Amino acid sequence: MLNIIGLGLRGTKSITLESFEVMKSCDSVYFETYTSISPGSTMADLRNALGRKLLEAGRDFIESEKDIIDESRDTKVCLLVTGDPLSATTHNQLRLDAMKAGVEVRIFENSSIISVIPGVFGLMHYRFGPPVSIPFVSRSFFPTSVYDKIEKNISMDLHTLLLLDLKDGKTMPVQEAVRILEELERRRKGRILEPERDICVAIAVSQPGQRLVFGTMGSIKKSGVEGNPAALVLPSTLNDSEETFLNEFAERL
Amino acid sequence: MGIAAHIDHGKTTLSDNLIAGAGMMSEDLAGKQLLLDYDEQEQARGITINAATASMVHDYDGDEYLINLIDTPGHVDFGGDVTRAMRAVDGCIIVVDSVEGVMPQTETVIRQALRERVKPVLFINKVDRLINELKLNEEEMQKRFVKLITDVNKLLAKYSPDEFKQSWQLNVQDGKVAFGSAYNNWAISVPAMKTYGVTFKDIFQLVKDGKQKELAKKAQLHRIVLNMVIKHLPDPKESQKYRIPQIWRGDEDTPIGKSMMGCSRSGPVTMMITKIIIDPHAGEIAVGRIFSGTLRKGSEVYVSRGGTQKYKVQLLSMMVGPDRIQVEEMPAGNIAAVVGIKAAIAGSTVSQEPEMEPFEPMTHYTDPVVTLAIEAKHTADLPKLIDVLRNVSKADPSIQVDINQETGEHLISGMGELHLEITMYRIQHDYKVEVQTSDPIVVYRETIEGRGGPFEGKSPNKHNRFYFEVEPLDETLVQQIKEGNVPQGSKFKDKKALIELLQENGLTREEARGLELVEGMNILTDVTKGIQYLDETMELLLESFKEVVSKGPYANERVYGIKARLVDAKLHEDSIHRGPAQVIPAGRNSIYGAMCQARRILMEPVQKVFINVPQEIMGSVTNEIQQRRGVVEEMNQDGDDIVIIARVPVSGMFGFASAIRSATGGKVLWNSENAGYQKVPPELQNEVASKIRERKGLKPEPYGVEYYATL
Repeated sequence: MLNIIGLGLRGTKSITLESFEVMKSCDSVYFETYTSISPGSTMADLRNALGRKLLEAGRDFIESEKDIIDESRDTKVCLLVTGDPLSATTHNQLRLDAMKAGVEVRIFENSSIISVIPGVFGLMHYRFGPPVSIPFVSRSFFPTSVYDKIEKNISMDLHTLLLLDLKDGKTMPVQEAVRILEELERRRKGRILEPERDICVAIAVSQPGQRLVFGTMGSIKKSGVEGNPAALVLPSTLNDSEETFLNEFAERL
Repeated sequence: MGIAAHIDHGKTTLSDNLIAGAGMMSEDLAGKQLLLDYDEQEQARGITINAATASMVHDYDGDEYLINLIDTPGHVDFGGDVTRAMRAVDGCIIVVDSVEGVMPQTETVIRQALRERVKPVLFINKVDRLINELKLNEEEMQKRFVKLITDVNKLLAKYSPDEFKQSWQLNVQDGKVAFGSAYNNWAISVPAMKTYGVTFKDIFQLVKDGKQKELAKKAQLHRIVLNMVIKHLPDPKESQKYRIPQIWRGDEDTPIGKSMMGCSRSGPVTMMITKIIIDPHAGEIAVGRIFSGTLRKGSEVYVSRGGTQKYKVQLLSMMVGPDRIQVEEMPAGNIAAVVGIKAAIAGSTVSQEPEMEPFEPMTHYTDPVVTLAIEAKHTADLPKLIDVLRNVSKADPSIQVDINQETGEHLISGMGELHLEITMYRIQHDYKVEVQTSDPIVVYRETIEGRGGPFEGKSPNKHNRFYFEVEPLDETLVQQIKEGNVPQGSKFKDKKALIELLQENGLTREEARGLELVEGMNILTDVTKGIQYLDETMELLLESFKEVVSKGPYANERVYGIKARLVDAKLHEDSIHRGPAQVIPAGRNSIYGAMCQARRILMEPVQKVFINVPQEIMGSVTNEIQQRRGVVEEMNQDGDDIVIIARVPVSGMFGFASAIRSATGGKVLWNSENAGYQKVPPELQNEVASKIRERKGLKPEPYGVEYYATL
């Protein structure tokens, strides 16, 4: 049996009692470190709490999922994922392939940055369009579809959650993301990502050191605000309560 | 102007005599000293290795003319030097040995010249040998000249640019042909016969009577040849009008374009570097042709693709063989030697304007065929060796230096055994690094015999899938790529004309329109329609293709002559799931898999070998050739000798020089040219492949279709 367990955003503290029991009962426990990142000490804290060894599962392990599926045929396996396990395509693929292989799969949901972000800024869930990821770019990879997706949300007057790519256990620096947005505007010239546009920055949400700020892209750039993990929101027009909440819950830069 | 010919047809002897005649070296030594073969190795081996430059002055009709001359190597291993020299010159003396006639390398240098729109004249050399050794009579001699000129004219008709097909034909009457003996310092042409009152009969008689010294006084080589040059070869003002559009793709109506078209000395400076000389005292010297403006000592210039970095011209000189004569300034049309432009390599564009559109790259006819693994004898010398290798490849762009990622050894590749031997000598003696080298290794190529695909290549996260088909590229299209008519890379200027050309050469309309990349002799085309996000993913697929081309699936050798066609793709909606780490391997696996289905094969370089051997010992020569997997293609009688033409794999040619010498007691004359690639015989394919793989630290068995399907 394969148990895919969401850890939430608060390290060991957001693990549900039920999933904790499952972990204890499993033959092996894998801790996934590829699709998202947990607060620094989570793995060590959990090891102490469970009193057993955790196996780290990086990109190669997840992508060559055959091993974990094989293991789940005869033994109880758990795969721990930061946030909510089914927010990433990767885990749904694993779920499907395991089911096809005749392995029983159980899912333990939890909160993720996607579910938490709107609320922490006081923005309304139903006013969000699809989230958009910002990948690390290079000379040969500069996807402008990112711009198209943002533009589509804006044209429907919807907010956009911007998820930042991961590298070396950290999210992309906020300032790098802002530079990519500027470059997108420079290439596409749709006048939607200009320096006057407001942008919200959430750092270390639901963790000690959480910081919520917002301001124009120009002022965010000027402030040099930085932190890890980070996520961004491009708000469209705010309604009255959103306006009030945002100004109260976040600090304007 | 350049001087070019088949090896040993007497280019350097002619060049020396021209320089001596112009008063720049002793006339007695001319033809014997080989001033332009000043390199120690050149003198020891009696051949030219470096294209050497000399500037000289000649009087004609009361006017003084400055001539910049480049003597080029004739040995096939140094062909890259000829290509580069042709960029710097406007005219060329093709030298042909009257005894041997038009030889393979003659054809190659004529093609090289005409490609660059360099106008040729002809010097028929070693005429004294026709008279004294072959004992031809006057009539036979004239017949031989006629045949030779006809042969050269045929080549000119074949390779000349359309607009010059007529006007560049050689004609004895108007003096575009001279004949004589460079060694004995005389020459004559039909117009010169009239001017100096020398008849054909006189010449014949004087040579026969051993009075060539007398002849040399009456018909001075340098005067007659340089007169021919000045009368028939264009000056820079004239030639740049038709050469610039060929060698520069920029806008002719810009100030820089206008100045180059008019070879103006007052316009912005533009220069193309054609050679880097590493001088023990001055360091790196960049030699090249100034196409516009006046280059001044102390001025500052940019190097194309070098950004806004400026370089100061520290020393400026003209060259006479090994010597340099310093000057304060040099105007357009000349060949200059410059110290100070550190970033320049052969092929660099140097300009006063940082944004100048660079000159067209110089196309080489052959790629490296032989490789040596090289290491420093003393580990402490390793950093120095790396430095030296960098310098060596800078000075000689035909040398390619790579690092084998698996074994960490340095690999140095060149045009032939001799080329590498000389390079090794320089590393040890000029740069004073003691090195150890492996036995020479042949550079193989990989290609396919049939069609393969569509083959599904999955990204590691399985969310992206690409479907490529592969098949061999039409030979005519390979030829168009070789000739530079289909440019390398992924940026195409005149896509419309290119699409037409591609269709004429075997691509369908969809394939031609979908052309994405020309990489070596391979193309990638996208025939899919309307796949979302494919445009922003294409650059990564180009990376996949480049990886495949640089490391084929059979033995990790370079891939040659394939067409890869993207027929379908499935892409993840979120760009974060289709970055380089996902797409590049997916594309690579799809192309590799398709190639496996299309039957991979190895190709090996072959040489055409020309051997003159006395009839009675011919057997030992053919024997030697057969032992080396060679095939005799032709045998022709030439007096008492037999001329054997054979095709021999380069891998069989190692050590041929000494083997043939001992097999025949030194009674052969031979030379060779690189003659492209041929299939490794089927029974040897797997054996050769696994040997290459083992050398590269790979497992001997190549991966098969199943492997790429499960990735």
